[in-house]
Amino acid sequence: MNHPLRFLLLLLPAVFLAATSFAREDHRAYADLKFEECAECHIGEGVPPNHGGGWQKEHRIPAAGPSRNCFECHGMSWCQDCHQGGGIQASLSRSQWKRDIEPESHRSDWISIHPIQAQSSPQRCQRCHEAKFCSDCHGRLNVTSRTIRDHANSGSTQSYIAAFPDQHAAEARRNLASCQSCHPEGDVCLTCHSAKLGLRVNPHPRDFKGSRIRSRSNNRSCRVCHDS
Amino acid sequence: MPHGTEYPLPALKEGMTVMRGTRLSFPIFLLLLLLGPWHALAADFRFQSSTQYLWYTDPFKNEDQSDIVQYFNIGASKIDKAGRFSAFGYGRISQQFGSETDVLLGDDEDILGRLYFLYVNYSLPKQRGDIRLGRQYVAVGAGAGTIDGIRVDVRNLGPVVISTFAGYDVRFAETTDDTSSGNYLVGASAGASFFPGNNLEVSYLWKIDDGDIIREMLGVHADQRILGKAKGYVDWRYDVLHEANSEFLAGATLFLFPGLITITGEYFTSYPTFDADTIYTAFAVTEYWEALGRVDYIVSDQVTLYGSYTHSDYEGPTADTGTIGIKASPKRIANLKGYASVDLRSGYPGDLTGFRISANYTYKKTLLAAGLTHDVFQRDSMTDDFTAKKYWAGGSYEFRKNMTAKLRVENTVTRQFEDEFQGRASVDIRF
Repeated sequence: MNHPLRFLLLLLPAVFLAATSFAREDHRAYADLKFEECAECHIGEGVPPNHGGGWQKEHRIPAAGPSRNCFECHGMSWCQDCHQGGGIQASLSRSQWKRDIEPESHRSDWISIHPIQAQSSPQRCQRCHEAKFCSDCHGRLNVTSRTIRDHANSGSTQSYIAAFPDQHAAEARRNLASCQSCHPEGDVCLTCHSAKLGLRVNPHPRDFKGSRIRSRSNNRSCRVCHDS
Repeated sequence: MPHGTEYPLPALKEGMTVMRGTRLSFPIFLLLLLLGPWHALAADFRFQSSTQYLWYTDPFKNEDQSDIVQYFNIGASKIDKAGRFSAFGYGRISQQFGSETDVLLGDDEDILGRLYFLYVNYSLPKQRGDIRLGRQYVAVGAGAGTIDGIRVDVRNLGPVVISTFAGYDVRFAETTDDTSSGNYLVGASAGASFFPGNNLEVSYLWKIDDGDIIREMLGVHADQRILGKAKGYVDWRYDVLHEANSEFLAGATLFLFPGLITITGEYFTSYPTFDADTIYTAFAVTEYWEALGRVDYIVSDQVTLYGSYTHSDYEGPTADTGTIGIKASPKRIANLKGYASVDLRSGYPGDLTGFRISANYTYKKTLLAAGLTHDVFQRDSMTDDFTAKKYWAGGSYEFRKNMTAKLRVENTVTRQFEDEFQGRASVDIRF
C-alpha cells in the first residue's frame, strides 16, 4: 500500500475485465418525479436501487466519479445545501444550526455527540468543514465545562500530559484533529515538541518523509520548530 | 496556549476578501447582474426564493436568538440563439437579531451574505463538453471544494472524459466566504469507460495557500459492473506531500433478485493528513480502518428494509456499529410515508444507542410531518451516559402552484438544556 505504482499495476488488470452490463439510463426526463416514484422503474424493471439505506455515506464515490450523472436530477444547490448549510429547499425533517440547515447525519444533541463521529474518521468531517469551522466554536468553550477524556482529570492540557504522558500520545495520534480544533496554531504542542526549545520531543512518525512537505510548502510548517 | 485566554481570533490575511457586512454589495451586484441582462434577452428563466424566519437558543450563552434569511436561486438557459450559454446563481442574505457578542461568529446586527455559486456555462458544440466560469462547486476523486474560477469539461474524446479546473479557493466559515489572492484550488481528472459498465478515473488536486502548496492529492477510482448482477469498485486517495495513503476504499455489491436485494461489502482505511500550513502536518498519527456489510431489501413497493454492520479499528481499540431501518408507504393509508431506524454503537471512543422515527402525510395541498430522535450515548470511557431527545413537527401548505408556506418547530432535551426550542417559518416562491 505504500508504493502507489505497484498498487496501480495490481489494480489495472482488475478494472479491464471485459464484461457486459445494464445500460446507464439518462435520467433528465425523470428529473421532476418525486423520489418515491423512482421505485416504479427501480423495482418493476429489476433495476438495482440507486439511493439505498447507506446512500448518505456512499454517494461520495459516484458523485465525484467519471460517470457521475447527479446533475440529470439535481442542481448544484442540492450539493451545497448539505455540504455548506444552504436551505432553499430544506425538507421539514432537517434541523438547523443557527442560520445553517443541518444534514440529517447530525442527530439529536449533535454538539455533544459529534466527538464520537469526529474521532472515528476526521476526514469525513473535512469533506464539509475546514479546520477553522471547528476552532471557531471550540474557542468559545469554557474549559471548566470540558468533559472529554484528555482534559477531564486535570482541566488543562499541560497538567493532563504530565499525569498521563503515554495516554496523551496515543490519544493525540488517534485524534490529532481534535487537538487542532482547540489549539489551531499548535502552540501548546510546541512547549514540548519543538526542536528549538523545551523538552524537544520528536513528534514525527517513525518513517517520516518530510522532504516534499518541506520543498512544496516552502518550508512553512518546518520553520515553526526548526531553525532552517 | 492556555484555554480561554489566548485563543486567536480569526485574522484577515493580506489580500483576503471577506464577504460580510458592508462588502455584501459584491454578491448583490452579481445577482442584479444576473437578473438584468438575461431577462432582457428573453432567456428560459427560472427563479426560486425562500424567505425564512429562524429562531433558536444559542448553546453557548443560553439566549434566544433569531435570524431572517433570504435565499435566491436563479437559472437562465438558452441565453443566446444557439442555446449554448446558460447562467446559474445561488446565495443567501441573512440578518441576526440578538446578542452582539462574538461578532466574528455572526452574533451581531450586520447583514451577512453567502454566495454558494454564480457561474456562466458555455456548452461546446456537438455535446463535446462545457466551459464554466464563476463561483462553483467542483468535485473529483482527489478532492472537492468551491472555486472562483474556471472549469473545462471535454467529452467525446473516444471513451475519455477530461475535466480541469482552477481558481481562487473559496473557504466557507461561520460568517464569511473567504478568498485570498494567494489561495487557489487546481485540479484535473481523466476518466474513461473502456467496456460497458466500466469506469476508470485518475485525478489530481492541488490546494495552494499564500502561494505554497499545502495539499497535493492523487485520486484513482475504478468500478466494474458484471453481468448486471454485481459491481466492484476501488477508490484511492494518495497524499503526495505526505507520501501516504490518505484514504482507500474497496467494495463489492451483489444484486440478488435484481432490484430487490442488494448486498454490499466494503473495506475502508484512512490515514489522517493535514494541510502543510500547520505543524500538525508533521505529527505522527495512527491508521483507521473499517469493514462494512450492508443489505438493502425491497420487500414490496410499500416496504424497504436496510441494515448494516461496521467494525472499526483504531490501531488498538475497536468499535462496532449496527443500523437497521425501514421505509414504509402503506397503500391502506394513501399518501402516508414512514421512516424508522435503530443505531447501536459500542467501543472506542464512545457508545451510542438511539432510534429515529418520522412520518409525513400529504392531503391535497397540505403536508404534515413529525419525527422523534432518542439517543443514549457515552462520549468516552470517562464520562457518564447522557440522554438526548429531539421532537419536531411541521407542515407546509401550497397556496399556489408556485408558492408554499412552511412551518417547523423543534424541541431538544439534552444534558445542558431541559428544553431547547428552535424553529423556522418560510415562504417559498418559484417561477
